[in-house]
Amino acid sequence: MLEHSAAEKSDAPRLPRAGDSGSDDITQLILDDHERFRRAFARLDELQAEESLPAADLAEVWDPLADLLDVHAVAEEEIFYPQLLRKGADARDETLDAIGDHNDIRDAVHDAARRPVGSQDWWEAVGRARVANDEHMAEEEREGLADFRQHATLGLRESLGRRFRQFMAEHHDAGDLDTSDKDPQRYVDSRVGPEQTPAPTTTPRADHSLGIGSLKGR
Amino acid sequence: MDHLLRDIAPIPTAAWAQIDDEARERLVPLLAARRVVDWTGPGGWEHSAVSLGRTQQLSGPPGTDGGAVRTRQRRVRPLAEVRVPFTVSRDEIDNAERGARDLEFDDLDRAARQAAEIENRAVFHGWPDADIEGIIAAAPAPNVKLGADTHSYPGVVAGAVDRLRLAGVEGPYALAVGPDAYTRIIETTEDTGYLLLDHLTKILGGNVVWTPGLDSAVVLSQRGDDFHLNVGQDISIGYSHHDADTVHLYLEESFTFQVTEPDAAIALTS
Repeated sequence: MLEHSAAEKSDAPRLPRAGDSGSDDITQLILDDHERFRRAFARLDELQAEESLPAADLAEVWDPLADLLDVHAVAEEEIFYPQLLRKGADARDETLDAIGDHNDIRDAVHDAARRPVGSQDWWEAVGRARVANDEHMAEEEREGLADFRQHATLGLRESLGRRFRQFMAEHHDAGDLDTSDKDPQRYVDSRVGPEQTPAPTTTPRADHSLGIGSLKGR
Repeated sequence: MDHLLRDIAPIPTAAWAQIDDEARERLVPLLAARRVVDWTGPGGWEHSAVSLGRTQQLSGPPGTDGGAVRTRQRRVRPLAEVRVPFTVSRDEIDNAERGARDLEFDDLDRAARQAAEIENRAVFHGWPDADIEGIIAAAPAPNVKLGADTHSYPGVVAGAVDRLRLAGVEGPYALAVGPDAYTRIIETTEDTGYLLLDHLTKILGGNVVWTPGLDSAVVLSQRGDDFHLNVGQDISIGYSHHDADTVHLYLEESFTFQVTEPDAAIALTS
């Protein structure tokens, strides 16, 4: 079995990144990363099927995949979801789900990093990461990305895409990023403020005012 | 019956609901000052003044011997009343009764803009006749210019935030900015591809607030308890009179404003 170490991770090959893609549309760049995730997990399936299973071969596939999962999640949280919250039609719920999914993925990835590569515990952690990531990708492609394509201009998507590519190019691993879990509600509230109770559609108030009151933070 | 006289207006309940909804929808985006200052109220129409917690010396009644007697008078800041008239067509009121949902309230929209600008201007620029000193007049005057060149905005705003931090004023901070400068901000993407609006929001830790009625810009702390908008009657719609074609209504509010920590804001000149 092979234990992870920082030195080993830094020497590990890396998967192609969004920065390598020709497209500038952030929704396309995110899809490109999703495809990389699927192919890397499929490669792990092939390795798992082999009778002789060198840990180094597993680490060669898993380490860059783990890095990409971590960096991709942070890039989305820094660049994509703040804009989805501003432009999307159902962005608040989509973002709450996504940040929760990112936490599940991170937990499993970081759990795998604590296990000997190739051990049963390691495979279980990798499996949890895959399940959480598969669910997240399907939901994101069906909801957040579709919502953003429908409601954000191509110019904005391309502007964000350039930032996304730059971010991915600057962070080959997650060593300098905060990959700790984020509270989904706090994440959303910090960007668009707490959800407001809808104003009444009629005016039953005894004082007959419009009931606007404080708007601080909105 | 209260002084708004809504009960005697020739306006059925369904139409009142539509008028109130329209006013609320128009006013909420426009009432920018309420997004960045503390709001207290509503104290009601009978609420007339806010205690300043201070006194001023007072002579005794004529003909009395003062001696060791000490007389003082409590200081208060009276609330200002604002009333902005507008009209609604009686035909449109009839249409509301028929179930129409696309009523024309052009004059209400104009009145909402006017009422919101009055409140915003009183908070930021002050209102001497109402004894209100605005945030800009109260703030220290470091002579920082925002200008029209958006390339300089991140540096100018970061400098203002630094000044507030050095003065011991904690964040998060907000940037209240007039409509022209706000348009420049949201139109701008920096050379790095970063949206200027996002860059400024990161520097501030708070929002960039579109503020109709503000001639320049202000960076101000959002920690709370520095700026107080004290409201008696929150914005309401009252009835004045009517004729065969038109109902005359008004938007009405009573409020005053007080800066309790002048160092919590930096005014930026345009």
